[in-house]
Amino acid sequence: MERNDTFSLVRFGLVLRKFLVENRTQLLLGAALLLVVMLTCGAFLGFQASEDIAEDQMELASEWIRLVSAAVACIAASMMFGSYNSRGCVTALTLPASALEVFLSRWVVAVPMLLLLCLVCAMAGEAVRVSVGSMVGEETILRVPFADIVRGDNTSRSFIGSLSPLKIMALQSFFLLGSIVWRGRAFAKTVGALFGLGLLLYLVSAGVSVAFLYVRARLPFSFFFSPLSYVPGWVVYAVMLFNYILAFMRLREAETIQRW
Amino acid sequence: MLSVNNLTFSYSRGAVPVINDVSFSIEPGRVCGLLGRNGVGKTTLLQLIAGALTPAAGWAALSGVDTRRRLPSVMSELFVVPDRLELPALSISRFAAVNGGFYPRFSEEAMARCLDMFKLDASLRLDRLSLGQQKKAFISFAVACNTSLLLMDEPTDGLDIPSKEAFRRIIAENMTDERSIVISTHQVRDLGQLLDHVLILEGNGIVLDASLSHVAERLKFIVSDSRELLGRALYARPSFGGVEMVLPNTDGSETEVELEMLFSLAVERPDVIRTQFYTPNMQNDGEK
Repeated sequence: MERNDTFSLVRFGLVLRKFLVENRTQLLLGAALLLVVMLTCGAFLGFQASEDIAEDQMELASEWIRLVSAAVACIAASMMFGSYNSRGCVTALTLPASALEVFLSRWVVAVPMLLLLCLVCAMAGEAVRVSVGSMVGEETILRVPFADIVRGDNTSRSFIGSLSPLKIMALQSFFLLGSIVWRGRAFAKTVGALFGLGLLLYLVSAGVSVAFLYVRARLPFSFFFSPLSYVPGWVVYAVMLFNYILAFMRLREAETIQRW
Repeated sequence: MLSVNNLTFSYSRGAVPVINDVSFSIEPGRVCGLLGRNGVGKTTLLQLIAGALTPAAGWAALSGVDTRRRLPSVMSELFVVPDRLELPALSISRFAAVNGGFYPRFSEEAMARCLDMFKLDASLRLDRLSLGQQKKAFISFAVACNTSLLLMDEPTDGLDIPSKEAFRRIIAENMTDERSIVISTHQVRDLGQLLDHVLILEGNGIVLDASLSHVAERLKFIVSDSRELLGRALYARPSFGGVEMVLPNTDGSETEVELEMLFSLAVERPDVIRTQFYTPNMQNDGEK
């Protein structure tokens, strides 16, 4: 009998196996849906190959991969703690496993396993794009630089184009936190909270700019999102870790009722 | 041993506590019935004992460890059968294989015996069973985990008559001196012969905490038409064949405890219970 109440590798394995087995249908369906989306995007872009400049097509494909990966990562994270927000939460709460083991088991599925799946599906979609593009007679097809995407290198100025795996993980961490904080519709509520937070930050920074820097603030979409492209890596790390710690602490104190 | 000490809980700040300053202990080898009206807080108390709710004051401890900490070593000695179940899309046997590893004394043989008594096939998928069948499967798993504390919330709800009989046999055959079972119910007729201890909740506290043997020493439960006895009765209600009465036991002869009558007496006349069981010149429950 394991006496270590903080973390046991054996118990962690049992928790992870339990989560994967009991949710295998949803996980397999989600993976299949992701693959279909990536393949469809690849096919669509492949058919457009002859109408676009090769560099633009490659950049568009790269942005689609990042966007779909980020969206899937956030949706998946918002469902990770669904069992704690349902009728079966007493059973989940009294499972003989530490909060750390439960949190890590969900994290392993939502972060490294999912991002790896996104990469594999993206590569499959890219293969379809290149194949379809060749079939429609396009001679010059630039392949998406997956090594650069994984490393987080980007020269794109757009917000979507700047989404590195680390930034996706940081964005996803908000949804992981939201899944344990909110009971029901966690994804929508997290999106709303992020939008509200972003709007608040934007208004404060615009106000400071106008009041103290005599800079006329503009309200186009690009001004709202472009600063996020240049957030330093250490800030992204800090935000991600902060959310993980908050989510773990919230999980440790979870009850059958929601209390703030 | 389960110990509950000055437990107080309310669902929101400023609200009247659902559970107020409740204390009791349940020793190993006991099957304790937790009785109370609808909405009095039976489920809340079970969830507090299981560590699934945070009390405003007090604590519940299993073998001296606060259950609210939900340590794996404590949770592996505690199992909760909730009143509402949400089970995964797995076969019963697969569910047991995936979850049994968390409980060091889980027994596949005990699980098979319980399923056999409930007439359930282990290959059946949990999500395709009726609510009653799901409950039977989950109860089988709960009993097979052999935890030192088993909490059951309305376990016979949704069970047909043969299944209730099977449930009683399962509990009786799997009860040991190292195990405590707390069964929350308002269907005392289903469980009367199983219980050897009762906790009756009323208001936001415990009205009666006593073994049935102690109840039988203090009270008599008879059916009679005697007006003299009716005049001395602590509680009475008409029934076929006469009037059911609860009388103080003054001659030392014991009768079988009628749980429904005891419950009605406790909730309608708690002052009588206090007089009979908790006055200073009378000995309290001898087992404490």
